[in-house]
Amino acid sequence: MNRYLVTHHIKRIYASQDDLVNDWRGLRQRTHAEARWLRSWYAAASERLFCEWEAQSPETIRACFLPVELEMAPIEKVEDVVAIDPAWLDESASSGAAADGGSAGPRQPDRVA
Amino acid sequence: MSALFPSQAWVEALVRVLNNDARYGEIARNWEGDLLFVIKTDGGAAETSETRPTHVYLDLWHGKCRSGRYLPPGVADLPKPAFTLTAGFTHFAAVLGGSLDPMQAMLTRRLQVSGNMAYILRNVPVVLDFVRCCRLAAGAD
Repeated sequence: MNRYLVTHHIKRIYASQDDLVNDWRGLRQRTHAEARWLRSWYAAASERLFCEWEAQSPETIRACFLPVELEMAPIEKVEDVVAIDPAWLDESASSGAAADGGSAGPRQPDRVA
Repeated sequence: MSALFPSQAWVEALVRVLNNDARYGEIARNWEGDLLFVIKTDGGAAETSETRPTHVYLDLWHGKCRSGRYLPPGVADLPKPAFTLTAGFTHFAAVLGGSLDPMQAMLTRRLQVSGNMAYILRNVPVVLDFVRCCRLAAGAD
């Protein structure tokens, strides 16, 4: 399974909270083992919704949406992505310090004789 | 100084914060819409004089709060605002305390919204900064 970042352009939004929540809940129920909607980030200023999916293919993601949903929030692009967690940088820094004898300070450059 | 939510003192503190906070003034400069909080007692008890909801009314307009009122249980003439947010005290307190994200609360209906949801979603930064000001009024920050 691959990770995808799906960018929607939010052209129209339901005016009622019930309609909005029911639609999102319906989408959630239409997802399945081959296309899992993991999380979303909404950028109000650019009217874009960025959704992270785990799926077999972009087609399995598109198949979860109703035509009206794709009309209200058309998919601009689907990108194959990899997750990068900056916490890894802390881990590699601490393991590097351990390999360096546990020194907390910055490593000095090797002296060239 | 902190003010207890919901109370007249909290509303007065919030109105002061909203009208003096430069960041809110800038972010909400285009906002047009008054707001009513309907704060229900928790537990779903039958409505009695003790369990009737409390209300807070705020007239929000272009980065300022033109007026604010605390309406204790039993007030008959409630305003008819552009937006009404309804929830139990626990959920309001969780939003004000920072443990519940306001947008998440709306999208999961823990905070019920009456009014144009599309307008709210197009103004998420205003909503978030308004909540920041509510926290300041409550002395949470």
